[in-house]
Amino acid sequence: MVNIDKSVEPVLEWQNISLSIMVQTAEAQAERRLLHHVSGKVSPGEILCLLGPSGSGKSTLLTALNRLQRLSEGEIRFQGQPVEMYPVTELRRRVAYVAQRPAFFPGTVEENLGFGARLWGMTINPPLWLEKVHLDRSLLSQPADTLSGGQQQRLSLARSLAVKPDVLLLDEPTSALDIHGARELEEIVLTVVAQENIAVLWVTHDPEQARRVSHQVLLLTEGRISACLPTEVFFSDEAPAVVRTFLEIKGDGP
Amino acid sequence: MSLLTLSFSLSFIGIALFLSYREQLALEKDMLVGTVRAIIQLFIIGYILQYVFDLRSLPGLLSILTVMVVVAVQNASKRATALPRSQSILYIAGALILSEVLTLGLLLGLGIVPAEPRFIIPFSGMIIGNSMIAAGLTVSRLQAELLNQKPLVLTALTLGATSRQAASRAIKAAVKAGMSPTIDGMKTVGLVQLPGMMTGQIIAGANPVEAVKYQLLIQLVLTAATAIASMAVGLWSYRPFFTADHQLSPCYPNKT
Repeated sequence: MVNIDKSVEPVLEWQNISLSIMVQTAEAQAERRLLHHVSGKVSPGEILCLLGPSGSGKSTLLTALNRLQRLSEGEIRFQGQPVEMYPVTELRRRVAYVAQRPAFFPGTVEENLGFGARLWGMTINPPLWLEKVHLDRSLLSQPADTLSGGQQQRLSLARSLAVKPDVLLLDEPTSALDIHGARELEEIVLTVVAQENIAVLWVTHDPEQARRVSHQVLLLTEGRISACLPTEVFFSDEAPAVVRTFLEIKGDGP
Repeated sequence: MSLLTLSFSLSFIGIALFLSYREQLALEKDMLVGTVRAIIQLFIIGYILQYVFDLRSLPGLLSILTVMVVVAVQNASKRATALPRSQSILYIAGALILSEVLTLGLLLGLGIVPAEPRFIIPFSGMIIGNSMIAAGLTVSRLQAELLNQKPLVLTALTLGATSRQAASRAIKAAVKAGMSPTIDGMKTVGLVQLPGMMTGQIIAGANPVEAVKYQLLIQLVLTAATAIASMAVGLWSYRPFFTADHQLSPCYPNKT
């Protein structure tokens, strides 16, 4: 585990954010709160893992942070400025969200890799990006949808990295991978974070993965923060009861 | 043609009724209703047209065009199931009026057809009718594409695309779908079938080559009209599906 210099300014900071959506039921429209007054921050080079049961708001928090969803309350600051100060497209380039299930445009690996870069008029070196995510350069001319699940996940990561983000929002990137594929992706992300000094928010359902990759762990329960602790404290005996209960339930699982 | 000879044509319906009865298709009632409606509607519009042609009045002409647009908008906007009603009417009416004004304006402005109700009304009918079909096809295809492509639209947005960029593949497919009947029709015209207008002119005694000239004119005008209507509907009607912040809006097409 790399130690983070505590004096570094957070690159992304969110204070007291809440998010509700309208749900259409048989009788009427109802409001459902997905996030309740959630706060946190992440600094360059730091990996913050989001843990919590399904439906606890982990993915919602990620998509709220780059304004794919509208907040009901609260403030998000990117590099010290409220996110509303940035053009929303620019914000999404710099705070890049990588979806749980990657989607590719009809076309080759190379075309898909360069999609974001083309939007921004950036020129990229495709073989270099494939190398960074452990993909062979011979794949460049292949249709993207012929890649295996693990290869697709890594291509999706490379596509987001290619637009030079400052923050990476990873939504369960290894949920569809076997243990071998998961470890390889972890290694890739750790290397990129160290090289490019990117901040990462990493949603995972696997506490062991959080223990391996993160500096901080944020535990969400029903849209509220139950705990936010340095990783070594989170997995120690000093952790609060709510954390130990969560880990015990997880430990009993498959 | 005298009314008496025309009435003999009812014997054709007699053949259809007989076949339907014998094969127990139970279509007799619909056929009779359809026949009576066709007779009444066509005669009414015939007399109205004759009246307007004789009158040469601008308000009369404009009210006929207005009725055409209103009925066409009503019909095409039924296809916009996901859009808020007021917006679908606004966009489709805008597209039909734009298409009618541009193409008819060019026809009259260049002196291709004389500015008389006798020419303006049939041309407008074809322009508005074809634009209506194009607009309806475009909007329904746009909704279907946005639904199918939702993961790709989201991917594009997360990489920093604007709503327009994220929807561009869906818009293109929708505009193509709107225009394809006209373009396909152009490729096969004269080979598969003789267009109704041309046939009518020939039967009414026109020189076939003269009839072809008008048909060609119509075909080219309709290509422009459907292109204008499809593109206008495509480029306007994706907007309500996104917010100003380039997020998906609540009316974005969803599986139900």
